[in-house]
Amino acid sequence: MKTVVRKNKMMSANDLMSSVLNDFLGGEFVSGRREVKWKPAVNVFRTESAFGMDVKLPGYKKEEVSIDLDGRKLIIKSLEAEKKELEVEAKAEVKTLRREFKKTAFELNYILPKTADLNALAAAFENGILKISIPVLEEALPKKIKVEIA
Amino acid sequence: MRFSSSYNGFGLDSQMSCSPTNILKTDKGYSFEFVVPGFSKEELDLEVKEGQLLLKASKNKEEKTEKIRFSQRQFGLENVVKRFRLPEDADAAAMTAVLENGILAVDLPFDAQKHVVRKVSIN
Repeated sequence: MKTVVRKNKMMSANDLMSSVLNDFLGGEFVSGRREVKWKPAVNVFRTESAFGMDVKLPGYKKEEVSIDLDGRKLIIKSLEAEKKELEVEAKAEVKTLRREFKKTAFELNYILPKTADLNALAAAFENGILKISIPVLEEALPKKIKVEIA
Repeated sequence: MRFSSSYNGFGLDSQMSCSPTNILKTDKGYSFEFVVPGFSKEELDLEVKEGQLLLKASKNKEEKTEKIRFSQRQFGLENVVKRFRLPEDADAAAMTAVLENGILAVDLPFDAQKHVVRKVSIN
């Protein structure tokens, strides 16, 4: 429980920045943001025929992460994972000797490119890494035309 | 010999990698949680040597057939080497390890002969 208190008291550079901007811009600057602050590391890449994203989420279970598509907006989030960890820690017979990581609630938003085939979006969890792949629409792929030499 | 702290009986000998570790103590023993996302069981190597627990994770070089272009890269898979001095009241022979969702959970039960809770009578 201690950690929760500390989190509220401390202000990271990021929080400070948005609170300054908030005061300045009248609260509109971070209107889309909730209390969720931590974000997992993400690799975004493209291969010849697909877009891909790898999200580093060690310890998260499939059920604890949700993926939603709102138009072109891809929303990956986990809001519940944190609670379970705190429950384990709160047990009297468990003593934490060293804690260097814990599951944290997060929300990621990405706008997918127009050339992505949203209906074919696929996701899989592999050793703690969430792998998302979205094929490029067929009509957006470069076409090869063979020209015969007369 | 590197600096090793006696913090809670565990000596941290390797801080080369940034793989975070949790150590918990229950009434049955110790449990370690190593964060090793992206590594499969075969790519992990866990051994006990001279009272130390040694974890190594290294990626098999994959042959990349397709060209990948990153537009954002926030993590890579670096090799991990972690070394911990085992606590004296632990039974290394009864150690078990499970890899799940990128976390290697190592359970290290107490050695019943060494982990003695002695009641001291007050006269």
